[in-house]
Amino acid sequence: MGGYLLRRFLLAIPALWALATVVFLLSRLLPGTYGSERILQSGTGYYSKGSETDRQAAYLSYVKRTGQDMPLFYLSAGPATHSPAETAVSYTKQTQEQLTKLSWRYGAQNAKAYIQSVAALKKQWQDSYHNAVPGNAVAVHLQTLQAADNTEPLVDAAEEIRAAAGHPRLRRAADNVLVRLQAMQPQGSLAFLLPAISWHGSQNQYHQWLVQLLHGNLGNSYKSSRPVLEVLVEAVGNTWWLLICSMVITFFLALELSVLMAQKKENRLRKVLLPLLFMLDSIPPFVLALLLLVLLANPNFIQLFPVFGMGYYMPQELGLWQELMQWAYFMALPLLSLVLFNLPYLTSQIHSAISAAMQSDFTRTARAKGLAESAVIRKHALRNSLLPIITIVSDFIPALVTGTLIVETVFAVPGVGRLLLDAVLSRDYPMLTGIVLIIAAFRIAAYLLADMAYAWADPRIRQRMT
Amino acid sequence: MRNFRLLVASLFIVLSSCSQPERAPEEVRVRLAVEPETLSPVSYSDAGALQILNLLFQSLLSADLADNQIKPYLAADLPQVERLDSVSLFTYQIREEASWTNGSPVTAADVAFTLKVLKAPLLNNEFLKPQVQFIQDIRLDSSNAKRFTFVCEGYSPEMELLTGDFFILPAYLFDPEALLQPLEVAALTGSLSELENNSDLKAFAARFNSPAYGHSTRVLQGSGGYLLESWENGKYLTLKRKSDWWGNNLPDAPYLSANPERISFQLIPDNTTALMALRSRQLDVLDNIEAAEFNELRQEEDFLKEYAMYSPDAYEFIYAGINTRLPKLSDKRTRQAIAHLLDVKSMIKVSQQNYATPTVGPVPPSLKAYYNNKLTPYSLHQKKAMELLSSAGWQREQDGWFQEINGNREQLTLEVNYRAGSSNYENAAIIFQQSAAAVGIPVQVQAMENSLLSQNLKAHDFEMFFRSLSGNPFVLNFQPLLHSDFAGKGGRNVTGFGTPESDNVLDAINKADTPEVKAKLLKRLQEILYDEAAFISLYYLKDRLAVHRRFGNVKVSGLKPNYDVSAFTLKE
Repeated sequence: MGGYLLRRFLLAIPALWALATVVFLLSRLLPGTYGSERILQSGTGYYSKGSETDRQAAYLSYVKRTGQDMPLFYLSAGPATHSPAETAVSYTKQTQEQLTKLSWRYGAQNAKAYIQSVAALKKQWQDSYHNAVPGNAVAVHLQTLQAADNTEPLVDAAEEIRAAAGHPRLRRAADNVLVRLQAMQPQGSLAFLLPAISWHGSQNQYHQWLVQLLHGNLGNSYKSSRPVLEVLVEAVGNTWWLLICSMVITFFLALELSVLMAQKKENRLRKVLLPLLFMLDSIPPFVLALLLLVLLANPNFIQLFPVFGMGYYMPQELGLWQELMQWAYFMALPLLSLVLFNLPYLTSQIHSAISAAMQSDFTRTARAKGLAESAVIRKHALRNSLLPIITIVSDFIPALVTGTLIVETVFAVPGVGRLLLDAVLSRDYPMLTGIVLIIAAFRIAAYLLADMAYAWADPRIRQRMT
Repeated sequence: MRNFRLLVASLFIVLSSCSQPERAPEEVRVRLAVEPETLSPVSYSDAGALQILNLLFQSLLSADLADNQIKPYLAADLPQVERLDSVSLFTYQIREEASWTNGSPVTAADVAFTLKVLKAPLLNNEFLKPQVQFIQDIRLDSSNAKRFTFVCEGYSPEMELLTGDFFILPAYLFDPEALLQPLEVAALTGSLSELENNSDLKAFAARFNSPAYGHSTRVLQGSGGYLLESWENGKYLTLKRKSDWWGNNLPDAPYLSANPERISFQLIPDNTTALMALRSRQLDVLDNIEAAEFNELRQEEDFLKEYAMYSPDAYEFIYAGINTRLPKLSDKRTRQAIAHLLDVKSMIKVSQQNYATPTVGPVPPSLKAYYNNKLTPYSLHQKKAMELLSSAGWQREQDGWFQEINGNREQLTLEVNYRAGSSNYENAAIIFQQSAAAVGIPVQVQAMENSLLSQNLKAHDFEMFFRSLSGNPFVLNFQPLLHSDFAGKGGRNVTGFGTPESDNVLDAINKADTPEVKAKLLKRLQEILYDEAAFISLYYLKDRLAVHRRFGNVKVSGLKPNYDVSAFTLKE
């Protein structure tokens, strides 16, 4: 049994890794990033704060600071005439355009090397002549180097700069540009059909993320720059007891109702209860939560419960008991709605499992032995219908960390569901991958628990495992 | 079973008797729809965070919501402006009384420190950096520690406001080891690559970018009248009044206030829930109330006894943009015809329940001095629209309007885009679709995700769209929006609007010295915009909020956040 579980556990690790990798890569394919949404889109209005170029520059420095200018993965593939998309973020609009044109003519690799050499030249020029500018001529030629899309004017401009360069370092940079320009040969007319694969080494976002992950670090949220794990633990903590309580109550109710309905004499109860549960199941959860709110927390109707969430600010410290009472009071409505969401499905599943067991031969035997009806159900039928129930229970365990978006939104409980939604909407990738990873880990743990529970419930399975 | 019934009944009684928690009268409780990601004064991102930061920190200038005027807050007076050839100088004096939480005075050195934090590389400041990039240097007055001059590149009308529009940080708290002291503000303009290796700056950045600088009650202490008392993540934030704040009872600045003893911001994401909380008297202030709900509340006498309701004119308007670069829409008569099919009245009625004001142009109708009241806003006029279409060369045929353009027979059809998820735009688009269908123009309505929409607009890949713009009553700089210099790809003038005259007028508005000249020019601009019908302003919104009646001096205004919670006083 131990060996079996260990094998399952080891198999789970590559599954987790594959899942996290896919989520990491897919999430980056969403249009827009957190920084671009915030920094570039901010100037809407007729009170403009900062110019477009300043915003662009700020965005570039943000991208660089957070390491988002690195390539996404170890390698990237694309047509030889296209510059890889991930390099584009770190250039200004003008440079991007030039890069596209040059790539189309002379191939992406060459064009990129050239653009980098020009950037180095520009930096060299700025550093050596900062403030004391003798070279307007150099500035003009630099502009040509940054805008033209044909080698001839480019070579001319680079040679002019080389001739005018007073500083040896500047001359060397200009030489470098010339070397790059010589490498740029016109592409064949069908070159765009050839793929080009470029290798980026370990300087890529995925590698950095994975190394961090192996050190147990899920990274920092882009939004609040807090560690993802810390935020997650907090959010899970807010809904943990609520979900556990609701699950325990739901299972207890579902089990008792099913047992009750399985009894022959409760025929009438079954006829009323099943359609009722069916109706409850057909109400959308959002409507149900709002209905509860409007019916039971409305000063114009019945005000039994407070309207929302996790309590108000209290000036004085509360004792443990008072705090617990307050929590129960505030959580009553969310708890009730969670129980009502899940009860119909669970009850119908357990009921059908027990009904099936009630038809079987061993039940008849038990009856023939003269056992009481309730003993037949609880001791014989229930035990044998445990397997499907365990499956359902294990499906519910991951919900402990995924939270429930609807209840969280309506009742203002800050849980993981809302966190995940916010992360997707604001493109907070570290948060997004972190949440998915934790949920996946819980799911795998739930399967392991289910396996153990099967073994406990059914001796035949235990036999097979060992 | 009988026991069970008894239990339920007694539970019912117990619960109804404890009802709602008691409220302390001196606490103001405000709803917060979204939790602030951070309260860092240089990287905050939403309106809620800004409202809270305004209570903790102060900027040199700010708007007094009582009369919507810019007034000196941390500064003793409005800045002295000196315009030279290529630079302009703004000289400020900080209030004598102004001091930090620890009692030390706010000085020009703190302002210099703040500028360094805003402009330095490696720091989490990219959100605010663009708006202070024009400040190139700060000159401190050696004889007066509270006096300094900003040296700014060029001149534009926003500058006066922008030089005073950022929170001043206490250097003693944010940089106790004075790591930024050796840095020069002037060195922070232009190439910063060398600074990126500066070890002091790196050490400062490592600390400054940590979450504590956006969350900690110990660090987030400014010169404002409040202290951040607690921040329960996902639940609430509370602010406590400083016991002996310097800004109380200044004779020349009664608008500096810190009246409520405690302000708590309760996080409630859902609108219905927030409304319920208001109805059960658990909130003192609720803004952004849905129009239909607002009307409903206005009918409830019990509610009105305890809450006052306000609908101030906001500074946000909805407009329609038409792509003038398309051959079929390049004739202004065609665009005028489209403008006559925009049923603004119905739009206001359906999506705003009449809480909005039709406008002729982008200047708010509430700014009477600048608003051109000689024009009447476009309204539904099908006959006129059809006449205009005919005069623009369109032929009415069985299935629509046709015209020969560049040798091709083209039909007048329109695709209207708007941001997905907003009922304002959706209603506007559908109402337009109906009135256009009545005269035979097929209109396709297409909602789009926000960033995709702005991408398409910037690439000039659209026919017509609905959007909104917001501003303030202080600066009316329409140049980036309407000047033809900004009409290139990626520029903000996406409709391609612009005549030689309008360009001149826009330039002149920014140079106008007196309000009279400015008014004349702005009125002319509105006329041109009205005539060209490429950028069609539809209506200015009104905000809707409710405030508990036990508070006076609420300073309701159209400027966000619509009320000044620090000014609230308890009546009686």
